[in-house]
Amino acid sequence: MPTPTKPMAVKLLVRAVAWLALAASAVPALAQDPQAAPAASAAPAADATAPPADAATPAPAGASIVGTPQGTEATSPAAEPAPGEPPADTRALDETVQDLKKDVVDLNKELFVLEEELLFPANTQVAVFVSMDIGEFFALDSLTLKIDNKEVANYLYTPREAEALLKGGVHRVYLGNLKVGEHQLVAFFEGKGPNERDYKRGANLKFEKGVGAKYLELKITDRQRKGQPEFSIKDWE
Amino acid sequence: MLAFAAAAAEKYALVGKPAPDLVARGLDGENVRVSEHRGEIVVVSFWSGRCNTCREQLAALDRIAKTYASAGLTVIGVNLDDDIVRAEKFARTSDVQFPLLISAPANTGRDYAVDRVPMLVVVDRSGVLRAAHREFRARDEATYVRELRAFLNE
Repeated sequence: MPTPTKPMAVKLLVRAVAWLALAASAVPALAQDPQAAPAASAAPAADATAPPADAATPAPAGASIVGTPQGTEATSPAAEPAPGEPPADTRALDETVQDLKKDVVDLNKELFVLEEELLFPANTQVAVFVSMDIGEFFALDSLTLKIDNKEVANYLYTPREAEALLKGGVHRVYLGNLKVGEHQLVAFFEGKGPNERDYKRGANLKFEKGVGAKYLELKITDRQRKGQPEFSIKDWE
Repeated sequence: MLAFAAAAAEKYALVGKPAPDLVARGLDGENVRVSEHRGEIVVVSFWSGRCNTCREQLAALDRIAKTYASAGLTVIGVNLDDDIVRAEKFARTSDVQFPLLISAPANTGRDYAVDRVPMLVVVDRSGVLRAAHREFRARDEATYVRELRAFLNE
């Protein structure tokens, strides 16, 4: 039974990342101690806990830290007056910190992929996506998803999300595990139909889950001839 | 007393953690999602149609929202009643400009550890829950302003 050990592996990896993040935040703290240089602490401060958005941006600055305004801002007040502190050391330390942060971000990415692979292995994985084309006759408000008569997802779409779908975005509304065999997917779409009327429609599909991952797409399209929206489920082989 | 202590502990347990996502339908029929306001300071006020203090708190938050909206403050009111009709009636008679959400998912109260109303939480620009206040007294408005100004200045 390999399944119980997988979450453990994930936990261990999370810990490893946390340690690395801790190390990244500890280095600037060490830098502060000897000469209490406020500028040096201002540059790498704090962001070890928010790696994806924040740490991603300083990484390229760290890679070319000498010429960048970000790097000079952080180091020049401490470097130019030079009250007994070598600027080269600070720069090297800064680079190390930035490299560490980049490593944390990269590790986080890898961990995310690994986590998905462990929690949703390809042989049982089922993913359901939603896409929308044109959308002249239907404004999506909510979606309820049932697999084998069990409700697995219920999603309310905000106007922004619906707009993103109209612009070509695809939303993964469900990711789960299913046994090999035949299953039934039922999707209920709610929203505003033609002439701003409340509109509720369903679509269903019987599909065969094989040994590989299964991807299903809920498609909302406009049927121009009838002036009505059309709801269908596509099975990606 | 023990229950109060437990509730206080619960409140602090959420502070400093990422705010649970929350989506519900507004009075105008549009859905509002808290996580869509990342980058803004978001005040989420939980209210009930049976609670008069909630009305006072919502009015206070409306005044604050009008002043600080341009600085990046968003206020969202979330109803936790089972009785949607009562909630709608309450919301329609409340003269506030920010969205009042009704029919929130059943797990909302649990996710945010709401054990009484009114209760409000403050979510910072990075989506972390930074403060929580239970109940409301007139003098709390000044406290909210002071606290929110600090968050807005971060």
